[in-house]
Amino acid sequence: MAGRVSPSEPADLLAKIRGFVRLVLEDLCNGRPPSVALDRFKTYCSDPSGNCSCSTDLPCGKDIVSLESKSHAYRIDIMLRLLLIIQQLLQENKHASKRDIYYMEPSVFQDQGNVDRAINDICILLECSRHHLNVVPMGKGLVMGWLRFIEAGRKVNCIKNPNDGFPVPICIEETKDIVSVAQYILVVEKETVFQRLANDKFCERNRCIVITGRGYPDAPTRRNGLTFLVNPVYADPYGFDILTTYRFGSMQMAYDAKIFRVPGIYWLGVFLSDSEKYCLPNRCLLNLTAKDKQKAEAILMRCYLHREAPKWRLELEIMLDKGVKYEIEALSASSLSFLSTYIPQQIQGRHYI
Amino acid sequence: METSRSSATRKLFQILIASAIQRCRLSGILCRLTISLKGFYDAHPPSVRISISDTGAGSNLVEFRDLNSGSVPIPAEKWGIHENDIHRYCLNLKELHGSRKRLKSGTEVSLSSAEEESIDEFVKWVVGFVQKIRILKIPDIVIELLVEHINNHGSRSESFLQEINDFSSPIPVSNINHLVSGLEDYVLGDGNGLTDNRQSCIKNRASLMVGTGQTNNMDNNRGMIQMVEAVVMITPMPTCSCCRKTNCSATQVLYFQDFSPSSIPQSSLNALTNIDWQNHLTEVTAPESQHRASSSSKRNLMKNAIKLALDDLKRKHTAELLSLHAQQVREYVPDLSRTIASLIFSSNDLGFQEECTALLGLHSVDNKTEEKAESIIKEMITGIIEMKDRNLKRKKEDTAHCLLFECESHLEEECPDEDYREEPEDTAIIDF
Repeated sequence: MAGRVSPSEPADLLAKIRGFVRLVLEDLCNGRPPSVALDRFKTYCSDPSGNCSCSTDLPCGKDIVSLESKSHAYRIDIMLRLLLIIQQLLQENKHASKRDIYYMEPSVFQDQGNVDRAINDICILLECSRHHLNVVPMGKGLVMGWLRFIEAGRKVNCIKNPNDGFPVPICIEETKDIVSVAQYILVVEKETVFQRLANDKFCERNRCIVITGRGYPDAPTRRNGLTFLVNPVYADPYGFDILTTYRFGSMQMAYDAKIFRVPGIYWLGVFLSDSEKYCLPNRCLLNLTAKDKQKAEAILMRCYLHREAPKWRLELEIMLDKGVKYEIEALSASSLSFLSTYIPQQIQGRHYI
Repeated sequence: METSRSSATRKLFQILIASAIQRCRLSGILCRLTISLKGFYDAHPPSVRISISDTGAGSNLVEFRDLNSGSVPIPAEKWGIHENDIHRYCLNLKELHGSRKRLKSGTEVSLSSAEEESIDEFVKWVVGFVQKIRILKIPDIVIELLVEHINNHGSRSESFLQEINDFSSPIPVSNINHLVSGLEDYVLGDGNGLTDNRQSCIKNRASLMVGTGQTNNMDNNRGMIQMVEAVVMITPMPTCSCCRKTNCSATQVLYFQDFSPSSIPQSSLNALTNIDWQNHLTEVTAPESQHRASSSSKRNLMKNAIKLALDDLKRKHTAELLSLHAQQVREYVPDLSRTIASLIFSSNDLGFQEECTALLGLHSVDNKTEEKAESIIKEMITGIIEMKDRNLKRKKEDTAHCLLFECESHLEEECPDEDYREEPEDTAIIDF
């Protein structure tokens, strides 16, 4: 969001970094500790009325990070270190992945999560998106089907081999000439399902694009998925959470949710009712663990489900009520190629929500 | 054991020691103060014979008669002491004057007491008491303690003589410096020569943090100068398990009056022990007044002396006295400074670099280096952290100061004579 209301060219960002450093120095000269005011963003809250401002993409407050505590001092320390790296990347027009940055000073950063958080902080501070900082995510997603594009001058023709997975382009800005004749885009959660569909030559028989973020999707997989339609996921709370990440964006990158979310995505399945419909043997059903229940209950509180996806919420309630879950692979118990039949049936019968 | 601790014997012992010290100091020459204890364990009842002798200026009987009207609240029979408890009270006064100069003088006071419930406890208390006196390292007084344990099977003797080296300094040393040195020895467990089982796990003298303060004023009524000297000493927090188990980590307060261990008003004691010394084992001593003073003016002197000592301590040890929280934050200062300096000097905007170096007060070309900028930034951030921490502490200290001095008035009625009011427990004075 901020990235689109504020100039985010390298020169602009470098000027902002200099402005920030200047402010820090002025504070020091005036006897004030270095401090950063960061807008606070969120994709959801627990207000069931749906009258909250989570969907507005506007900041919902400010976090003041100063030298008040050890954790704040560490946060500022990491943030300044990242800022130094980013200044160099922008000045030299180079790119680095989050992982590259982590390995520059692993003993200081301690955890990849600390680097990720500092990058998010800097995005908020400089009012830009992560890719503007020349920080690229680690490629994680796979794509196959009726698609052709040019990535960094290299032609990637998925149509030629529709049953092979290709890496999702990391740098969207360097991806152009996207050509597709697909009727829909199918997002699958797990790579095993992706490979199952590839093995079944799903894209040869269905004019579509299949994409996977391999678990929780990375930013490029989500940014590429703006027009996606259906999404078979597990009938379990974690699968459900991944689904919400596609549709509503993640809390960690809430400041940029607008460019990552896919509001038009549908949930194709699997649903808990499918277990009865397709006579899933009882042995394939698993009881929800205490952790599953806790997770499901927490998700049920999210405001966007009340406001924008009551049907999704209902499905989660049924799951919690029955206390069972199952893996999508369980549907293949009767036939290995079950999914290749199930998905087109669901689409044609409009059995998606 | 509260009864025995506040026994008449102990009170009398304190008074006799205090007056012996005065006589020694008055003499102006090297004196010996000998304390002899003989414990008769198998007597009925068990008793202890105490002898206090000094080679100080001579005394006269009036001094001892004053005890009768003094502060020992014991029914008077002979010398104000009940015959059943304390008996055989003897005075041996020697004051021989030659035609031109004093040849020899001295005083010996001895008494027997069956008042103490446990002779061993009493001996332990006396050892502790002498130990406290030695902290002062009073110039020209050598203190000797002889203890004899006597029962039907025989006797066993112990002797503790103060190191004569304590007095061998060729340069005259002030009382307060003696006090600092004595307290350091005490904390480190050096040179006291007393077998009190006190083990100190703190071995590094340089790790001790000391602040001193002195105040004085003229007592117009008596024409005497009142003086209070205070020393605040903080030792590092011991890490060994033995010190954690014992009371080493507590704040200890020592109070001396007229060079003799005395008690401090409970409210002041509470205030001092309630100060948050932030991760440091703390030992606080000792407003030491040179002359008896009226209660309120003495309190003011104490207040100022302690305040000066605390200020001195804070001035000398700002970094060490930061709160744990501030110390943790300060650990990031080197990194923060380096990164901010790097952000300035790695920028390809030279105008920006100029601007920043000017803000940092780096004007000459030679000074405009990343190292110099880093050093200034480091100094600035450190200063800010310390200042914020001081401000935070000031609030807490204000509370402590109120307890220490300003809220005392309501306690005065309860404690009309603070000089001889017993501490609730000996640890209130010191017992490591």
